[in-house]
Amino acid sequence: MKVLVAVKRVVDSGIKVRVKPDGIDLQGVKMTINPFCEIAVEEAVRLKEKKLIAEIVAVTIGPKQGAESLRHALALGADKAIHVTTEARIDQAVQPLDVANILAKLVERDNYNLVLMGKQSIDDDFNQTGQMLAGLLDWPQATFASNIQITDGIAQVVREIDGGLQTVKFKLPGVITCDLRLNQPRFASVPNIMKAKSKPLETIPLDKLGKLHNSIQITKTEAPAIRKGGAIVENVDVLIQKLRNEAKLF
Amino acid sequence: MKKYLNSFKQIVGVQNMITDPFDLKPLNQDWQRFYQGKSELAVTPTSTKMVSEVLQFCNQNNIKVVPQGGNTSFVGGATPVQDELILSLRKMNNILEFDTTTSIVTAESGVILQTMNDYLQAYRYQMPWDLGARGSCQLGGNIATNAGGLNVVKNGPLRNYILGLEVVLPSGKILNLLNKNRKDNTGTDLKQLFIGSEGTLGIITQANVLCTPIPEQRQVFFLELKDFDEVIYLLRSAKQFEQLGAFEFMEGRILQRCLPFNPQLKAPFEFKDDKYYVLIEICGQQIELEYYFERLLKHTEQIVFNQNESELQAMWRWRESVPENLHKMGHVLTYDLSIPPDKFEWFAEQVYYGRKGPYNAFYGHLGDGNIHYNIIFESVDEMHKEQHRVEEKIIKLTKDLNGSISAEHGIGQLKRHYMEVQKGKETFGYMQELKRLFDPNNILNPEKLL
Repeated sequence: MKVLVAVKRVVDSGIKVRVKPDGIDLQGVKMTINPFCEIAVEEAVRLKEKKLIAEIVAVTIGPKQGAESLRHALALGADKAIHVTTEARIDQAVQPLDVANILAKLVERDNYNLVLMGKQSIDDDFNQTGQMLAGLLDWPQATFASNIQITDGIAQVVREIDGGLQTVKFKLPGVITCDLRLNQPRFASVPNIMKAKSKPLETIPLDKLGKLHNSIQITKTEAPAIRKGGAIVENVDVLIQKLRNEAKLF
Repeated sequence: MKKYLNSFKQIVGVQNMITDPFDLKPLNQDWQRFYQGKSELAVTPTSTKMVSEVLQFCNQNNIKVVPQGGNTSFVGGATPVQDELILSLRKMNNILEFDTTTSIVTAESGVILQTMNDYLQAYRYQMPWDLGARGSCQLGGNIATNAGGLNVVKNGPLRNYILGLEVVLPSGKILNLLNKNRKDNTGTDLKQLFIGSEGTLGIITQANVLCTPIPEQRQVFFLELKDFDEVIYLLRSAKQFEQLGAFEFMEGRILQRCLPFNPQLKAPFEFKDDKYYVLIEICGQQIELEYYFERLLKHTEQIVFNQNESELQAMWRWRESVPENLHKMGHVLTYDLSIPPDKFEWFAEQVYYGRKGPYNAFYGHLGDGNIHYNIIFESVDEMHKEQHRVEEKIIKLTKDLNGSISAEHGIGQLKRHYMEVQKGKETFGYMQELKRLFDPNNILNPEKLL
């Protein structure tokens, strides 16, 4: 069984971002693999270790540096990588429907049995790509996966939903998007990152697979309002007065 | 103390006095809960002048005083032995200025180390020393103890970075040694006496500190080695790295036991009892990973490294959570010593032959030859029974190796009785004379250090 894992390169969530009027300042900023995508890679590797899948292919869309995230995925245990190259801003101009279309082309070309992805990326938080991909391929989908079992070509996925946990079952091929509690990705080891250099990495210019339509325009980016300090009130009357007149609750 | 309450009200104001036993409890006790003081009053002065007036009054009335910063001492240095007055610096927490040309910061001694770093970050600078207690320890306490920590292998000791001090002497006299000159060869450097004096010669109220730039990049490697010899070979290689930021060692038997205490924390390895672990941090501009891969792989294949900030924090958390986790494992006797790095394991084997006996383990700043050796007992009684014998053995071994009985934690109450043996009669004699010179009535931090 062959699995495609899509990974996005995002700003490292551990660092403080700088906001510019036209978006987040990416100049000289540390980037890393999207945490949910990393969970997807880790899950693929664990499935391979359980001998449930034979080959893992990692794919990313982005500029030259995107190859670093692919090497990270290869170091964690992916077998091959595909780099769809574009100079467009990955956090703004590379949007879910376009990504889904590109991934669909790759799925048709290479015949994957399963696509694993993060549930959303931490830069735009769209949470759309996996769902759109499943729609385009007319494949079943299970999103927000916190547990994945595969037996005889049937995937059983526990999904995290608002009310609790939902278990769905479907016959592969399908799309599964991964949530936080699915696993904890391993550290990349130095020997593995060195071995990753000799694993196959295919480069494809984006326009060979699709197009970026920019159908979503980002009109404004701003930092959250600075939280004003709270206040200690003397008694309930003052509290009610403040709730009414300042917080305007009633 | 009750008869002086009104006088202190005049000097500091009732809002700067703590008399409630419940509020005094954490001030009377050290964080390891080894020592229990019986102070009935703590004052929290808000200015150097107030500190001066308090000390003057205490000196005149022979009231003993314990200066207290973050109360993070490992050796009971910051808590009362009896019912001394606690003089807490916590309210003197202003950062006064930062000179962007000279990178010198001037601050009051009650500023918490983390707060200093938060302030300096905007200028892309940081404090030149760093330790696990950064969220609680204060500038004055760090200086008074010449705090060690994680950056000594990179930056050298804290002493190097103190350019000036303001000290209030036990008499109440304010000694102005503040200085923003990087170089000043004008005779005996008095401030050096106060750095590391553990609050026995004067109370530090303000300091000029030389800050270091925040490294542009940081990369952490976590390595697993088969035996201690391999660790030493690794140390020798690492000392050649110009960008070496930290070199920390942990025995496998410690990390393996820490696993249940850090359940959500991503572990670099499945820690094993019989393995040895090293955390190496590289920091600087343009870190060339391949350079380090090549050199580290010569020592072991078991190396992981962080791909992002949260992995970096996770690796450090394994190292920094060791002291608190050890305390959760039982009753701990902890020894902070300087000995030749290649003798760490040999040392441990001499204390308990074959490492048998109660659970004992060592970790530490191997890059500086600073070992933290710990023995964990299941009951307090067991610990008290063994303490004397094992301590005598450890002190003797350290002395035979020409080591230091306290690398970074200081002497406080814990190691006081070893001072004369450690320093020798003559040196100890001079230390006592200096104490008499500055504090003839012995009011400041009595029964500590000397």
